[in-house]
Amino acid sequence: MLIYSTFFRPVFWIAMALLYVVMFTGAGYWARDLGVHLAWWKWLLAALWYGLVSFALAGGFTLIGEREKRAGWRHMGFFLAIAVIVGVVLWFVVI
Amino acid sequence: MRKRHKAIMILGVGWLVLAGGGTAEAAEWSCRAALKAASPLAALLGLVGIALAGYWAGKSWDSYTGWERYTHGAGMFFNRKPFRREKATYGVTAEAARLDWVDSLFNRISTMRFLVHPADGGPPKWTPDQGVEKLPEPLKSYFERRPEVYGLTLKAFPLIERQRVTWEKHKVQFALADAWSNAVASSFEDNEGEIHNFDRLFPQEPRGAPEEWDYRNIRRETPLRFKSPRHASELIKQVTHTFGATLVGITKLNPDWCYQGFLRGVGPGQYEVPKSWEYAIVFATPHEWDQMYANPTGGTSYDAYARERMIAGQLETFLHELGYPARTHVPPFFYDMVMPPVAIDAGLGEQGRKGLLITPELGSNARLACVTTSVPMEVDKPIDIGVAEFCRKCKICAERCPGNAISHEDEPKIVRGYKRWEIKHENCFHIWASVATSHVRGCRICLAVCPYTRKNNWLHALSRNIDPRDPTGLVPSTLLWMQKAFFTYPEAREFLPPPAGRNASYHEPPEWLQTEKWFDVEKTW
Repeated sequence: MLIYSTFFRPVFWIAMALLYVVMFTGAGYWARDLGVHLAWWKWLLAALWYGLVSFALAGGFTLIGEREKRAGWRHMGFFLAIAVIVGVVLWFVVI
Repeated sequence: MRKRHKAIMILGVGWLVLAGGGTAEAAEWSCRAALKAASPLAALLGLVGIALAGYWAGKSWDSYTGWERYTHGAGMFFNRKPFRREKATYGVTAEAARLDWVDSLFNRISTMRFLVHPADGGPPKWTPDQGVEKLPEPLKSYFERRPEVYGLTLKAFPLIERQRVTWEKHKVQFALADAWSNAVASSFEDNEGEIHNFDRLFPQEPRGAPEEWDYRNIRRETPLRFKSPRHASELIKQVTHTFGATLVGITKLNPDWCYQGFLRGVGPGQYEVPKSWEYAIVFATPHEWDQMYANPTGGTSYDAYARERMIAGQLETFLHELGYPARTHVPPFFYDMVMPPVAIDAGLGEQGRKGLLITPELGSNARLACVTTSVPMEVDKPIDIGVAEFCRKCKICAERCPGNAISHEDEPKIVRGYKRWEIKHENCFHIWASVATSHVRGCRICLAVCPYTRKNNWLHALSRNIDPRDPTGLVPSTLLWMQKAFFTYPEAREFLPPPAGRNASYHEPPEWLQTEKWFDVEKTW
């Protein structure tokens, strides 16, 4: 299967790394242009929040991939709900 | 042509503008605008990408530990070093006692089976209607001491008969599982589960005392001397992996684990553990994961049994070639000892509530065999990854066992001086003889539903590494809560055939075991 091929796998992760570089660099420009000045630890918190959303999706789909559909959806629902709450707190209180 | 020239000119001028020294500001602005515009899209694609990566990780064959692409020990990926302990977690009291051969249900049942159906095809040497008095020793004395166990054992015989009748109703649904199981078992038994010719088995069954049999193929005057015990253990582990073992450990054999009262190749009687059994090389392989999750009727234990037998036989030959005595102890019931505690002593894992070994890499999906030898080797220490504490709270296996064979008690008991949860072996066997299989082939529901029995992907790797390192107990408790809240299991009785149940399995059988997918049959189930 192409997805698991020797060629595709590293290419996929290189592409993912490029996406993250574009995302964070672009986010920096957005912040500057909007006049938002964030301390480094606030950036870190924002990145961790994005990590939490990624964990919710990756974990859920991993379980779906291994034939645990219900557990996968519940995993996503649970961690995305946490991500929403944490996101609201970060947006209005911390950042 | 004109249009093409125009486009090339515009591109060229654009490049000059971007690259030119005097226009650096413009170039930076363009780059910045592009990154700003692409940033939200990249964030979204990043989430899609990570979800896809998760899905592929869940499906990947590389997560099928022991059945993945590599066979050189990479399946034993958990770092045991921080969890090594001087003593095993099963605990021991002063009055520890050696196990009796007749204490094992499988030894009792297999002996009785061969009495009723002799291997040579001759008339029965005993039938249940003859009663305890006519049973040979040590069965007679054992059942006279435990009449309730005799009653439960006898109950298995009509269940076995009824199972063969019931099979007629399910043999289309489980035709592929049955064919596959017969195929993987064919190296050691026929399609009725009988072994007719012990001489044709590999590895060979002992014929004679260990002092002769364990040395039988040695061709050297003196054994090849290893540079050190460490060299010996490293080489032997490496070689055992190349034979196909997923996990390998080495321990000094505790005589308490060796059956008293019977010795393979010799027969009934009291005996001392031979000197050539000083060390045990114990190894584990998993069942094929998808069929294991689809038990009880999606598959059998025989795939792992066949692999274990092959590994043990090859390792025995390898040690003989080096000039050392060696003897195999292999499934399904060709053991002179009970396996899980030997594997625990060798640091492969811990004992779970269901009495089976639980390993960090395979959970309970680990079938065991060993080779005893006198090669001086460096031994492994037992590990403590918190299984005992987890099992105390979890109880999923006990709740889902249709035979109610697994203890629901919070605390383990002391059995023959060792700490463990008691198993009602006869109840377990009754389920073996009740599920929809062509003949008695076991169950394995407790393996499949165990939270430790998980394949090797990043999500479970995270759990198996964080869980034992948390001194507060918060992580194991959270993981257990998630296990019970997120995952769903059939009710215990649903695993049985109709009318009591619905032939349920924890996971749906894999496509390659679904008869209706490949054959022109009418689906009525």
